[in-house]
Amino acid sequence: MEKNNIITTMNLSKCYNGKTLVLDNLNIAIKKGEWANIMGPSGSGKTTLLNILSCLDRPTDGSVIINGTEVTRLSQDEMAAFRRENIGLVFQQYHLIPYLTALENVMLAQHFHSMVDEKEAKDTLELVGLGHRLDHIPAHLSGGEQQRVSIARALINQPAIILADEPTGNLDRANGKIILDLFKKLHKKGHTIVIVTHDPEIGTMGDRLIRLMDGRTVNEKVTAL
Amino acid sequence: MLKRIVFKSIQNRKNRILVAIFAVIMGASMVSTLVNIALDLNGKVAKELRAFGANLVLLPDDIRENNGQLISMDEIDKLKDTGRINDVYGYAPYLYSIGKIEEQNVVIVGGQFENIKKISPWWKVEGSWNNDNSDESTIMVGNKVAAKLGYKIGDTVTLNIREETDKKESFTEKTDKTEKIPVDGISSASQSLNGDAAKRWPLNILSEMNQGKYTPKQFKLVGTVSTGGSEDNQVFIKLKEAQLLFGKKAQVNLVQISVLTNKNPIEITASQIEKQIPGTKTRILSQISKAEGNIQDKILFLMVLVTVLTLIGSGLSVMSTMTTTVLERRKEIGMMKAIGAQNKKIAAIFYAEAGAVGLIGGIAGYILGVLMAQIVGKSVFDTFIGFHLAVIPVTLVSTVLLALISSKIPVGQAVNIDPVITLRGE
Amino acid sequence: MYGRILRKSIKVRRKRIILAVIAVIMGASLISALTGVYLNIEEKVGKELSSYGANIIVKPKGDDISLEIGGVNYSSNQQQNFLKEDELYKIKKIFWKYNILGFSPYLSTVVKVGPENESVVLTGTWFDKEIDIPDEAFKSARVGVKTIAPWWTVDGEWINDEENKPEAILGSAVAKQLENRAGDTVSINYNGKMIELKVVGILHTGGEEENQIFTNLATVQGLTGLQGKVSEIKVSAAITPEDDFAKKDITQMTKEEYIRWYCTPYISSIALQIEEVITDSDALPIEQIASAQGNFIKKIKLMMMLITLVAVAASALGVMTAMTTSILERRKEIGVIKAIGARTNQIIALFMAEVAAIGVIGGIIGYGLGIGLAQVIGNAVFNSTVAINVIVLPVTIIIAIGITMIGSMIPIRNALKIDPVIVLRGE
Repeated sequence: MEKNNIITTMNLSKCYNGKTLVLDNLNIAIKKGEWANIMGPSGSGKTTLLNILSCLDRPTDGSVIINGTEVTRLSQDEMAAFRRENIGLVFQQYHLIPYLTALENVMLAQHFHSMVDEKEAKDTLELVGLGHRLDHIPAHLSGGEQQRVSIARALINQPAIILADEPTGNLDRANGKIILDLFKKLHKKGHTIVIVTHDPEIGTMGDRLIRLMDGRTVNEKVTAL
Repeated sequence: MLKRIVFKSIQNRKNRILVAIFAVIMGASMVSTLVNIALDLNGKVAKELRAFGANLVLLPDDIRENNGQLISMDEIDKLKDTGRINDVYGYAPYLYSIGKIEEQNVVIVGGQFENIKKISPWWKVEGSWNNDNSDESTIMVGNKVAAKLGYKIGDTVTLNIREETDKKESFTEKTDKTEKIPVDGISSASQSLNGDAAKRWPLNILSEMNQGKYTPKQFKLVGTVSTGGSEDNQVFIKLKEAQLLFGKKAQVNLVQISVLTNKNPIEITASQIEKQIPGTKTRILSQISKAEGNIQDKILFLMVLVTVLTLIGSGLSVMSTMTTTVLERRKEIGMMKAIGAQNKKIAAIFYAEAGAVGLIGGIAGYILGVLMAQIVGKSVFDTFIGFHLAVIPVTLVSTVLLALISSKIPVGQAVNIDPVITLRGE
Repeated sequence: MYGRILRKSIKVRRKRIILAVIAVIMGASLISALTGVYLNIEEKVGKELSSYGANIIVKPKGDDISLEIGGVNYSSNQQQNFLKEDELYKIKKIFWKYNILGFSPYLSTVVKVGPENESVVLTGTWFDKEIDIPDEAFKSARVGVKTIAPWWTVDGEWINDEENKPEAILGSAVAKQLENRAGDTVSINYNGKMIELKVVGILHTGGEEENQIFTNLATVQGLTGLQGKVSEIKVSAAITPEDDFAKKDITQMTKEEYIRWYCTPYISSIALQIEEVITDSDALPIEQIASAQGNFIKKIKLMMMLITLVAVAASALGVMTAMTTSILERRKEIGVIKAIGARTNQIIALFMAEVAAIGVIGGIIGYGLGIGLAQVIGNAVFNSTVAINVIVLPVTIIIAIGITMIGSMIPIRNALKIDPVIVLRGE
């Protein structure tokens, strides 16, 4: 495998209850700084794949090497630690703490990682365009703004990879565009981004599109850089 | 940051936090009430049990008995020395003689009535008591005496008091014999220095009956006494007067002593008294002291059991409330896990919250409990419950620990569940 | 559909339901246990206090003034009126027969003792015997000094009432004075009549009994020629403390009031009932014991009542908060259900059904547990079982259900008032 692959899966399979095979022998490699989109219809296993890549879940079979570490053999605690150090997660439902402000939600991630640095948190929120909304709680932010907080949170500990699960799924076109522009900005800065989506428009962005169908990759297309 | 998170979390869930605090207050106040009462209970019960009367009698020892020597008032004053003699609740000295009212032999009792009121509170007195401090010659009679002789309050009673013969007044040994005068079927015993029944009180009084000269003295009848006991057959005059009239200046036959037994067993007080007043002996009235010890133990045990059960019951109840409070936040926990938080740090947030609830609830509950204990103490025993510093830290440590333990289970479980599952649904 | 929802709801929220039920069980068991103990405390404490001994003394009417000090009658041989020994069993036939814990007759006289003819009071009594009580369910009763003076300590042996041997128990002061020990004989001289008694035991009490010699009632009766007669009877009765009603003048009472007084074990009514069966007697409370017993029982009863009230209130409130908490946590659920169109009363019915079930189940289990706890307390402290008082069950259940429902109603009502949108969006 090439040295600048930041994610490599080999023979990755996931089976539920010994019967349902959700992921079937996947071999995927993602380079550092790449923006890869994973698409597929409902039930194709894309969320499961993302969970495994996020170290939230373990495969039944195969190996997954992220940033040089074989993550399939990590314990729960080790996975959490790995997640903390290497992966920034963005969810479809944002999953922000409802009683903390935008700033505090970002600082929370810092708190769990190492040390709180309010200035750094503010800067990151500036980066995502929310410098003026620092003290608002999620209930007072629009969907798009909440998602941007979520992205800021994902970024704050300088992860190796940003993984996003349907980041625009709950947003209207306008807000969705803002989020995607943000991802473009991050991509330009050199972040590795993996997005799971069913939105074909997103599929046209980024570096490559990995199609999943019934747990298998189908006709990988490399989109123009 | 931790403080900030906890603070905001509490603010956000104010209602639920208040309810949780309330639950802790209920439990803590109940336990605080019971513990405060229990700690003081023995003392209160011991004092109540003094209503059964004296549990110790002070008498001249055997040597003095043989010499016809009594106990002096100075010696009795030593009972007031609380430094050397512990736990004396009260005492009443008595001096006896046998006199005649209208040819009837009666036992005349000289006593200090303020003291009698204190240690023998069951005396039922119609009319009024003799006043220790006045100079008037007043008398109280037992109801049987009043009934038999037809006395009413306000009447003048003439008491014929036997004059003391010389031999009883000095402390030296006696060798002369008394005459044998068969009177009322009782004849005096022959004299000997050891254990002469006629010299042993109270029989010595009986054997001297109808001997010697009787001098009349008039008293105003101020009250009748009913007790169902020997008092019904006796007549009562003031001790000072009795001492003068019986020729036993500043002396008494015995002292009834009422001893509190919650701190020390009565044997300790008894030996302290014998030590401080040489020449005397004490007799523990087992009728009173045995029953007393038994009842004190039982009442205390009852309180302890009730307290322990309440502790367990309210502890479990509080735990249930706190556990429920945390269970609902599994999603929050899952989310934190997803962004990579260590279990320890997640748990810290919840424990901090629980600890705050435990602390605030504990303080408020303790105060409420103390107040309620005072109400109980005042209503039942007419005194306030003492303050025990130790209860505060014990209560607070318990409530905080309880809150923490009850959070531990749901938090412990939640952090171990796959965040994927927690985030997904319930 | 309700059943389905309820069952599903309970299944999913098993843990939380169990927690709520535990809270109710704890509260209900405390209420049940403490109330049960409180309702029994008078009887239990009363029994413990009976170890203070006799609280009623029965004497012949019209007695002369006697020379008594500390309960010992030094003029006993002058007595003229007596009570009948063959009426004694009737004391166990009065209305309050079950409250008569024991009694003992006495016949005393002053005698001369020993080689030096010293004067001592000789008292005849029963020590520990079973007498037949005709026409009663219990057929016989245990009477004697042991039943009214449990503090007596005898070094040596007690006298056997049935054998009627010429034996004596010497008070320790007398024994010391006469220098007698168990096994010695002591010669008694009554007006020239002589008998020899074998000393079987020495009595220690600390009280005036130590100045007496005790023997069989029959022995003293024989010695004095007073067969079949006793000079006084001491009775130990389980009494209820005197309240204001008891202190009313019985001659002023109406018929109903008198019946009520008669049928309450006040010491005065028990004493009156004894006077009714023992001819020409005066039965008086021994105030030293009786009034102290009454007052002490009153205080302990009051204390237990207050403690029980405190515990009941605190338990009830504790249960209430547990229920409130569990409902508060379900505000979102309530919001969702409301948002999909359920009507207010349907939502209330759904939730309250669950709450009521928790209240009933928790209440019943708690009640049962509380009964067990009350027995534990009764056995541990008083070595006896606590009578199960029927009223505790409905009281516990009603409080349990009532409190769980009140504790839930308020938060449910509040939750229903909130705009479901807000509940759904935020926490």
